[in-house]
Amino acid sequence: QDRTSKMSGLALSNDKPIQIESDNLEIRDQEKRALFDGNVSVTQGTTNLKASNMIVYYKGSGDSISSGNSGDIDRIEVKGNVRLVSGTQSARGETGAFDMTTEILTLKGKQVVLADGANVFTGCKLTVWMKNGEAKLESCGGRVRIQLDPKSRKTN
Amino acid sequence: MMNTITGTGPARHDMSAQYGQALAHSRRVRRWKILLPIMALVISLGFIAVSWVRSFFPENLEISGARIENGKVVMEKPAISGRNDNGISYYMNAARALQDIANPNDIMLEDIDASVPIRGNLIARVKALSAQFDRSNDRLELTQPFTVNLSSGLDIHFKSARLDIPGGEMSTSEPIAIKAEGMSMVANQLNITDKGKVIKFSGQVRLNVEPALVRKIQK
Repeated sequence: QDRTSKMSGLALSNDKPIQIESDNLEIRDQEKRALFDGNVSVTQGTTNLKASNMIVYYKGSGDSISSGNSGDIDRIEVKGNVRLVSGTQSARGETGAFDMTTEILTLKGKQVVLADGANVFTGCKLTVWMKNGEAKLESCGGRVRIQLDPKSRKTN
Repeated sequence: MMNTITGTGPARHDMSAQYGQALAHSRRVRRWKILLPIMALVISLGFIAVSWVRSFFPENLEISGARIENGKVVMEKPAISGRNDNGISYYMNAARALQDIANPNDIMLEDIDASVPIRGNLIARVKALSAQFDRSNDRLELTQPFTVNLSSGLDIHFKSARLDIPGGEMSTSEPIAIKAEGMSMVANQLNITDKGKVIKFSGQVRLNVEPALVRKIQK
């Protein structure tokens, strides 16, 4: 069965700046890709995403730069020890993808761990609707292992 | 808004102060474009710069009005202007161009001011204190800080740069800072290969995207 919870801190706010840090950045314009590589960290307000590398795919028809509509980001993929932290909630996985249009973030891996305060849930795929922070952890076959902190009251 | 840069590297400590003033400018930006793709374009202007220098000093240069000064042929105010094939005007001026008599391939340019159409109506404005051009291998060394301002509102501040035209490469091992509306970025090094197709920033890449731009991306 799936576990649905609200990760309110995760909603992408559009009134706070975003900082992106990495060891290197390689822009391959022909392929409309930007590869951030090495200790990648993306921070907005209290939300932070870390990964070994991140690829930003951007749209832009034809000769994107002079045609003017260049630079709309299509989607972002992250790989390698992906950690997402926001307030008391955090999630870990191996790979992640963020679709700009649907604003849906998915985190995958053999062990995707969603921690909410002291409660820990393990599954294999986490889907987060960044618009409202709704998050769903799927077990894909196996059981979603839940470890509830006895002290914690039923939060949601 | 400029990140202060901490880290190794000799010129690092004064960087933020120096770039701080350099970045203070207000420009009306006609249309904002996002940094990533634009970077690929703006740098290829370097390759245009060298063909410009070549046109000053073609292989068989006849010197008319220039004068000789301590072993160098000095050309005052070399200037070139015109329109490119889609009618966009360009100009490239220097205060002086000095060609070494003993080694005519060694050309020094001082106080460079150029406006170069890149593609479409995107124009790059380059101001550089000096540049060393080696005509034998089409290599341009910009040893002094220089800036590249793009008509789309993107400014790049270099401390130095090397351009290898036949190799289609431009690189700098000194920190660079990029500023555009809604965005700023710094990195320790930059290496452009494949005539601008691949742009590699390395060393403490810090990219800062302002909320206004975040909203724009989301729309």
